[in-house]
Amino acid sequence: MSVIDIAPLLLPLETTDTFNKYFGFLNILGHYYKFNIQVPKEESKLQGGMKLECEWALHHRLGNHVKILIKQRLNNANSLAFFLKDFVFIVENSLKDSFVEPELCSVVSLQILEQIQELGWNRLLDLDQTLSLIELAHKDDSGRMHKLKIFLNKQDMTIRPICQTQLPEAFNFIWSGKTRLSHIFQEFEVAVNLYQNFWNMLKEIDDNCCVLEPEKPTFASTNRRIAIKSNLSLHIVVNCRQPTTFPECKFVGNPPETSEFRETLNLNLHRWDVERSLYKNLQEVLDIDFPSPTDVSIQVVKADCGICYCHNQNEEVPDIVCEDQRCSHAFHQSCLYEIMVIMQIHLTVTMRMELDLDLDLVKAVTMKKKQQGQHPLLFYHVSQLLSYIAKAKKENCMIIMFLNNRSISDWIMVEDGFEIKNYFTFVPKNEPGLNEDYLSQSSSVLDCFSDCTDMVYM
Amino acid sequence: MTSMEKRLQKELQAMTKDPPAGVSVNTDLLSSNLSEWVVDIEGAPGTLYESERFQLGFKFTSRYPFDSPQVMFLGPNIPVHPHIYSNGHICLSILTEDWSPALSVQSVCLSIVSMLSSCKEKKLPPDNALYVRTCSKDPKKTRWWYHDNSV
Repeated sequence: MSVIDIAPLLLPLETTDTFNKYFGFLNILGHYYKFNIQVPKEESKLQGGMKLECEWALHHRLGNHVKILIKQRLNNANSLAFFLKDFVFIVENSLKDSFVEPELCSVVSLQILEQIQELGWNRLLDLDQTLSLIELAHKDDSGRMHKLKIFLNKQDMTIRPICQTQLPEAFNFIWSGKTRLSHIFQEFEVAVNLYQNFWNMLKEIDDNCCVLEPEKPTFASTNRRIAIKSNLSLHIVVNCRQPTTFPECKFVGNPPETSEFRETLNLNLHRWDVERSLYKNLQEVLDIDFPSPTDVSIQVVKADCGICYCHNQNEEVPDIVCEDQRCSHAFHQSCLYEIMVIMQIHLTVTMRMELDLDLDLVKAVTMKKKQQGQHPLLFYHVSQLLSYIAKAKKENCMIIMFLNNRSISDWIMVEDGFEIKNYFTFVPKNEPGLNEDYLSQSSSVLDCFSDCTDMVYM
Repeated sequence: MTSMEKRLQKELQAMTKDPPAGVSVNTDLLSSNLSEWVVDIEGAPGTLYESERFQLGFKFTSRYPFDSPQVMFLGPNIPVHPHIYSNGHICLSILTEDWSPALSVQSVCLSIVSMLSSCKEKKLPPDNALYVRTCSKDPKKTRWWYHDNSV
């Protein structure tokens, strides 16, 4: 038995004075594994002098006890041929039960490689180890690089793969079990060409305007928020199919200014010309020149929501702006809603727990600030009024309660703690003729709160 | 990142980049998810607390900024002030009932510094002894009865 019979793919690699080094492949269960072996020249040094290295793919499949066994045989072997025969036998036995076909050689993987070949390797941007994620690139006429990620289902190649693109619309390709990667790619090229005008229009805007949003526009983003001046910007959503048509417009800023611009826009709308570029059209109908991206006079527009400190939150931008010029913060509708709900819950819970009120009777009462425009000096918590209410109930009285509108919370504002009875008037319940009219006419409380729109009593 | 972490991250950035006078975040004592902060504050010049240094502890829940933070003075040096109890609890309406999500760590710190600055006489709250003995560990659980807003 010669070495050639067992390892026909073994080549001498290096010869020195003391040893010969071989390199080659061994066929084990139909697969070829790379290995190196070093054999001493002198026969007397053969035992214990051989050194073996095999590739990782084989090494990691062998159990520890198998490795020990191989080492023993290697040390005891008296010829290379015998050892190789032993080695193949041991490895075949240990792999027989647990054998997994290596990925690279599976039929499906070969098919995939073939399809990539057909497409051209120059189009390939990235490929993961399992060949199930393929990233392709297409450069359009303007030199923009578009990426297409294809996730293949290797269990069943007839299942429609998932495609990820940076297109403004979902990428829909025709799929039958026989569709190949090249077909998908062709459709992708067609789709990319479809949006050329759209990207050109947005590029003009990105180059010439101070775009606040998105910070790093992708090819997929159809929206832009363009600064008009400090604290005023225009949010547009562009139609990607017909980019020169009038986009969805929304002004973000203080109400007097935004409504002014909205009026200008409405007046000039007839001047919109679909033959003109989007950028020029916007300037035309708004009657302004957008400040350039390098314009430093534009103060950073308070773009973040004053509550969550973010701008884009679940596709929502802060578009409710505080009317008070000193504040002029923008808020997300959802953030404002949330805090309103919390206040409402707070009110309800507190009322239930502490006052044991019939909620149907409780309505938030709006109250404008006192005419002097000063904050009342004292704040009393509802719980502090419990004793008053308990007393009122004991005496079978009716209580008029004012809730302040500023926080819709469980606070009651009174100007002076010692005058509390003026604000919480106790009226015996069974007094004849007692009704709202009576109260509104008689109680001195109402003089203090003459501009109350509503009141709650119990 | 949760919205609470996002917002605190931004607040932290702003406060470390451009700290208001007499207020600085102790970044060594920040917890990893930003839910606990320690802020060093210094009494303003020309006031009773001039050049005195104090530490404020902030604790945020995941509901921040909808939920107010828990704020109290930490450590050995607690200012003697009619609205600050000797266990560090602070009687300040914006920390509980008057909290609004438009407020921030910075505005709370500034309110506390200005509360110290407007103090005319260093004295403990009148009910300090009783309160410190009976209160909950969390000042937010206290039902404050705000006496006055002159200080």
